[in-house]
Amino acid sequence: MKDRLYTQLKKHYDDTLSLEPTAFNNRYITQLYKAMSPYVKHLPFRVFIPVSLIMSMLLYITLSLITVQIVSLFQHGF
Amino acid sequence: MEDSIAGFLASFILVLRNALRLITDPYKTMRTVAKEHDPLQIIIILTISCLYFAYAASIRNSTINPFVISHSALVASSVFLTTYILSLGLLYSLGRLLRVDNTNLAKSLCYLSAYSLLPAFFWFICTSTLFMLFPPPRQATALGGLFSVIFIVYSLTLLFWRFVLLYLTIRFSFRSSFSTTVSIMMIYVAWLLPYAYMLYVRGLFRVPFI
Repeated sequence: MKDRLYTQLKKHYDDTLSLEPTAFNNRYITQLYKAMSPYVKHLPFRVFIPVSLIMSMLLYITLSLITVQIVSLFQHGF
Repeated sequence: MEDSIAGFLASFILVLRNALRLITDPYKTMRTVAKEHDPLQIIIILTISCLYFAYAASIRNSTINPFVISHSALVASSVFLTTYILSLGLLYSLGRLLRVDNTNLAKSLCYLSAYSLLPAFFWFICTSTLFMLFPPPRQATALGGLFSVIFIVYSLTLLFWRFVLLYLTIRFSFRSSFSTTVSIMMIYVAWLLPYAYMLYVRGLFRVPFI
């Protein structure tokens, strides 16, 4: 007799195992991927925003005038 | 009639819920979306995207006269829908070529591709609104620099998000490994770049809405 908990657990089990977990030939790369992927899977903007900020600051510091011109160009991009 | 309105409202609320969850939990949300079976959600997403083009046309032409904006909005909507269908076709063809083990490949691709339009939608809304509030060109002053940095930050953030959603679209549709997924992403981008250039040269889209 199937109860609700069994149905929920089976659904979760099927969901989890529907895809093969990611694994590389190199153990260290697999470990690195498994260490980094939770930051992208859940609340990815906590990584995206700081990385984007660093990249944009570096871009502005190195090419300030060209950066401003590129932004003016992209403002017409819509 | 009442059932239709209730069904539409339910689908609309689901679209909003999934859109919010894509911000906080893209992996789990895309996994859920891959199993969706409500075509009204795709229609709602595509309709909202087409309505955006009317908004963009009104900003570009600085008018809300429907006779002025309707042609521009119609052309942009047609090109957007064509681009969406072509990208679906490309991914579906690649899926068939790789003989992926998913009987609902086309359905998964439709839903996942529709939801993965969200970063593009946000970028276009922000850019067009900023165009209205702070029209270009920017000057090489402190305020101009600050605006440039903010613009690049949100553009890059949305671009990273788009790549993640593209990765998840392919991963959950094709049920492929990391290397296969990245290879398909590269093929997709290799198709998109010349296509985007063609749209730019023909004056249809400066930045493709995809």
